[in-house]
Amino acid sequence: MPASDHRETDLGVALFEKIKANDAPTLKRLYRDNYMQAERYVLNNSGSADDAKDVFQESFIALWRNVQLGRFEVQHEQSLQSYLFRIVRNKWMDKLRDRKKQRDLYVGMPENKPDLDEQYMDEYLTKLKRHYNQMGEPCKELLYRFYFKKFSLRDIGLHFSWTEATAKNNKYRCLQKLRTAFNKENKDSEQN
Amino acid sequence: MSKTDLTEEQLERIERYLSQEMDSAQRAAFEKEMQHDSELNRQIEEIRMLQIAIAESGLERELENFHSETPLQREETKAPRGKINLFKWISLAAACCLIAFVAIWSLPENKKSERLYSLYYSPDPGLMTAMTSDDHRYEFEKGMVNYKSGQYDKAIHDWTELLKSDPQNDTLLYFLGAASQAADKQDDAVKYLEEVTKHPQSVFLKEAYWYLGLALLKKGDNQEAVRFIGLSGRPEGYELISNIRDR
Repeated sequence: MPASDHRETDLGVALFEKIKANDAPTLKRLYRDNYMQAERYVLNNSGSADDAKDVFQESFIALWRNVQLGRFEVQHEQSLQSYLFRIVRNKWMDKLRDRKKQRDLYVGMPENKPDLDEQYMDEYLTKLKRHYNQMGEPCKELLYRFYFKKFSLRDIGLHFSWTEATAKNNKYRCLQKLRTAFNKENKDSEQN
Repeated sequence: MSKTDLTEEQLERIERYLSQEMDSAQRAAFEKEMQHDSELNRQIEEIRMLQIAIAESGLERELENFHSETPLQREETKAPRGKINLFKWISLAAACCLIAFVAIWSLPENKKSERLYSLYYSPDPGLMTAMTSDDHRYEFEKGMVNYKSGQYDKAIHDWTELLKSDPQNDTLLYFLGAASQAADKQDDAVKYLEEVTKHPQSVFLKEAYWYLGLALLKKGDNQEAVRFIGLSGRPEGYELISNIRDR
């Protein structure tokens, strides 16, 4: 019988580990299982299907990021889904509020502001992602396979027709390239 | 963050630490080093952020795949594309928003409660189902599948049967409340959710307060609604309470 006992907690922990490891079936199921509720909410509150998709995808990324950063720890499945839903709701409220502000109809609803540390970290990650996305294809693909798909260097080597040692060395060089580009931008902005 | 160079060996060591591949002795030695080496700490943080940024870009890449395999319930509500020009479309959307918000704050009291309810209420997303072989769990999950596909009356039927043999199960009580509320049977929702609030240890306690508050709001009992919404500790609860009180 399902009760809110430690068994639920164990399932939640297993789920949490799978999200941390980017387990594709888990992520896909989490997306599929929660999309409809989010869509219904946005559609019922003056949004379109496209709005629902945008807000849900932003929220999904935010949930994933917060799990990776340890900002949120799952105790049981239900708390994870409620948490995702709360992000959807807050993001959609913020969007409605912005639209309302544009129409000069601000009626005193408080904004959902993240704290300064979180804001700094989020901006830092956004910058890093921009540099990553500007990289050439081989580096992008190699790093994607290693850090998101969690493939072994041996498998990555097979894909690119490299030896495992070459794959390892190329991974290092690509990561250094990304670090250099990012640090250069930071240095430039400090000087200005 | 760090602008110093990192050798391939140093990177490998940091990554082994981050992915918890070190044995306990290696880990202890590494952590001891961390205590005296602030540069190492910065490098670890830098690599951790790089890993997250790359993986997050990877996830963004996957989202379209996930989306294409997700059933969308209301395809027909999408606007026809290409026939309305962008300016007209934006004007129309803006006008709709304007009307919606003016409408909420100019309605009579009971209508306002209903509008607030619909703005803040969204059904509990439910639990993930695994369809295990355990009989009771299977019956429960059958109800959950019905619940999540919007067949609330069927879910209520399934779970009411289970409740007969386990009338104090807080999970069942909570989801019976959730399904009743989603089916707009607010009296039943109040009955079940009040039962959950008698279980102070329940993981559903705060959620039960929130939904109970919303059910009472819908029924027009604003005073009790405010009390339970406050107890739920939800961040948007304060916003909702101030909107309820804002006459």
